[in-house]
Amino acid sequence: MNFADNNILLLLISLVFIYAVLSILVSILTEAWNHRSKIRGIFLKDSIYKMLKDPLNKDYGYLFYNHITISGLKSAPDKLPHYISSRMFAEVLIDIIAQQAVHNRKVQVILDETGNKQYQLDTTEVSSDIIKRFQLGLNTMNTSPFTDLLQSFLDKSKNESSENEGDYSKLKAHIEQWFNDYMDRVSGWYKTKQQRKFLVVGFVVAISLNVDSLHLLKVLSLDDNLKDRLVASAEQTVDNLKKDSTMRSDLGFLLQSTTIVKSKDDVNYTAFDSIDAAKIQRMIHKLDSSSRIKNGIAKKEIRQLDSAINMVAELNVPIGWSRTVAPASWWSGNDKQAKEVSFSIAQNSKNPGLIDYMAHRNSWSWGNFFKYLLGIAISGVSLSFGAPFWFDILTKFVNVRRSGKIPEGDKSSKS
Amino acid sequence: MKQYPFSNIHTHVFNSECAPDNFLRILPSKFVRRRPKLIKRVLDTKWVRNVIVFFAQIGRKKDNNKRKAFDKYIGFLEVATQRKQLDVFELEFEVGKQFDSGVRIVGLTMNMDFMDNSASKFQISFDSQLEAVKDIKRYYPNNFFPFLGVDPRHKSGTDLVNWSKDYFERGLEKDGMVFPYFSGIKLYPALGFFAFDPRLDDLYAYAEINQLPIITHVTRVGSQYIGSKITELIPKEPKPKSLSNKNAESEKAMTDIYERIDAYYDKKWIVDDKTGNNDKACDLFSHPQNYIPILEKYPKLKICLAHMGGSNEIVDNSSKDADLRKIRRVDPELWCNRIREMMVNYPNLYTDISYTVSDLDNKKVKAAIIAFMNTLDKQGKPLAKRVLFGTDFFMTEQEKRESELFKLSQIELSAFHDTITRDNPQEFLRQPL
Repeated sequence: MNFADNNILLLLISLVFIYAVLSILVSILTEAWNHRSKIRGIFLKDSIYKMLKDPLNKDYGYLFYNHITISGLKSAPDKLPHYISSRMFAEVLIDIIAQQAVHNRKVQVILDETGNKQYQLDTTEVSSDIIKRFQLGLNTMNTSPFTDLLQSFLDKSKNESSENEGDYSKLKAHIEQWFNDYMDRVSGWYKTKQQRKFLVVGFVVAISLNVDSLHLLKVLSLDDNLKDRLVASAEQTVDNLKKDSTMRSDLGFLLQSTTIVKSKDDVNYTAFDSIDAAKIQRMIHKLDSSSRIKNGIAKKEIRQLDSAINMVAELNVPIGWSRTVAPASWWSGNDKQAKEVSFSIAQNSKNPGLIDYMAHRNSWSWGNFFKYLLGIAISGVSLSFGAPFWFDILTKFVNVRRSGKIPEGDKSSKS
Repeated sequence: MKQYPFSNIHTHVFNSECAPDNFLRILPSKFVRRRPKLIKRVLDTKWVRNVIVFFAQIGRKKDNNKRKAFDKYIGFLEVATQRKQLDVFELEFEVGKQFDSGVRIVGLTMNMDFMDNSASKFQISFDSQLEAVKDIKRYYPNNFFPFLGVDPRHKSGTDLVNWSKDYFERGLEKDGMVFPYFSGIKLYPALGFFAFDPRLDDLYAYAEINQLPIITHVTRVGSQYIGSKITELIPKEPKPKSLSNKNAESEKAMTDIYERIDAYYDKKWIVDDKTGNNDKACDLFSHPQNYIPILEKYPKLKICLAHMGGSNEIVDNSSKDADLRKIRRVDPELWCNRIREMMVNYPNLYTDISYTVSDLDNKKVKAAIIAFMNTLDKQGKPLAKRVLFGTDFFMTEQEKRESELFKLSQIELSAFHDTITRDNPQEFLRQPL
């Protein structure tokens, strides 16, 4: 048996390729959502607030973001930095703690004969050595788990330095390590949070493009032409992806690598065609031009969205909304027209099984309705896995198929 | 005669992170109070706010407490959601220095940690708010004079005094002059306590000895306690205790206060409510009469009852406001009149025209304020000597721009302008020049 031509494998490759293309759209929309809602910056801020919260003293996260080094990273008052280096984190935190010692001088209030106030300031000099200031700053705080942690970093840095007086770079290194470890966990939390967002966007794309997975699977199983074209597209795409395996999670690279093969024998399935794509693109450009945010990231998002929408239109698979296609056909009451469309599709595909299936699906029944809901749910969940996941699966399936191909020589000898 | 610096005695610099997550419950709307966090999320978006402000402008003629509360909140969001405290101060400083490069701006901190009885996830602690305020003082020692917000539920008695010493007895030096970080005390009783609370007694004694002035919020509108246990804060029995020194004036005031509490209970205005509907009950905390026991016990203590009681208590607007009509039946005397009577009797009692200043273009309000200013106290001095200029920045942003408020007071109160903006604040603050 030629494993490479296994019908189930070909079906899976075709379906995964469709998911991969559509999930590019999901990934771009999710990124755009993140960008507009400034979620990265907010998430980083919330995480640092949590990290530096000391109920027995102060919210050092708040003081951290108030520090000129950090507030200077904002490009606008409401735009928080998306990234803070461990070096910057450690330097700012040491500075905040050390400054507490400097700005803690006692004032004596003296009232003169006229009742006016005069003040005298305690003139005790505070050492200019940053490590000594850090220790003094810690001493001004109430003992808490947070001060214990900082004290342990300071003690370690003292033990590691030759003079036993602490070393700024060593203290900094300990705080940097703590920050990096924490940020690894923050990345995990962020991904979990993002998954929920991907699910929402996945469903939005599935519903707005009418992507019914069960319907796709059935049509793919009935139309060999479509299946072969998608498998060929998938193989070319995987070849392109192999050019740089390090870029697999980059949306721009995935977009560039995706190739859609066209064929003269193609049936026009899609209700989402180039005209719809052009309409959406015009709408996006209009929104973009009315938007006051004109930065590079937004422009890149718009370009990527344009390409992704074009690509979905070129896919020519049975998705999109039309009054002649289920579920809209169920309520349009135009059964005759729906049947004619189904017939034309089936005739073009030269597959007699397709006409019965299309006519049956485009007519209302509770069975069709529940199947449709299930199909949309499968699509929504599948698309929520994101583009890098589906391109990875696609590569694996194509590799499996290629490993099962019988070389030309072997084929002829067997025959 | 030496001209003292121009002073704005009443501003705020806190930002939205200082407020509890359910802060929006200060708005008198059932819908908003049920879903305060969700609505806050929506209102945090600038374009949504712009749309709301547009519709609010259309309904501007409708002058009532509810609209003012809403305006205040939108003003709060406009400034406070996007800026840190230093930036908020600098907005005010930019306006103030056009009048006087040595302008003095009093920033009133508010301890909002007890404003709600449910925990807030995104609110920073009050000590953190104060740390950022100390930074502003370091950068602008000649121009910024913060007041320390106190709440007896945070610290009490000697604990409170020792804690506050860290802010009044710590400071910095600039060009040979020494400045403590904080210059006075701010009370905001509407957040859920009475000013006559005995837990504040030691602090008042300390403030009197050290000549620390107190500014306190006295209007029916404003931020208030938004928690669900108002009956614990205003118990029917036993009645809230007072630091009263048992003299006749204090006892009379306390009798009136207790009768008012009973009347509010009878009217069912003090009821525990999950959505924090404490609008009328919180007026009890802000009432001017609450300060009589303190003034009797600490006659040298300088207290400023802010806002002159509020525009709606300067001129009776109850004909336009059904809620106010109900309140007048229980508490008929306008708060502005009460403050005037108290200022006649107590020589260290002050008031300011903050927020109220935005209504100076209303002829009735202007005439009432001028009449107030010209009233003579027991020593025969006009009360204008104890009226302070303030704007309540940034709560007033939706009413009028800050520079407009400065100009409005300059034009409408021209005869008193130098007195209320320069001489009186110097007397009140007693800061070295």
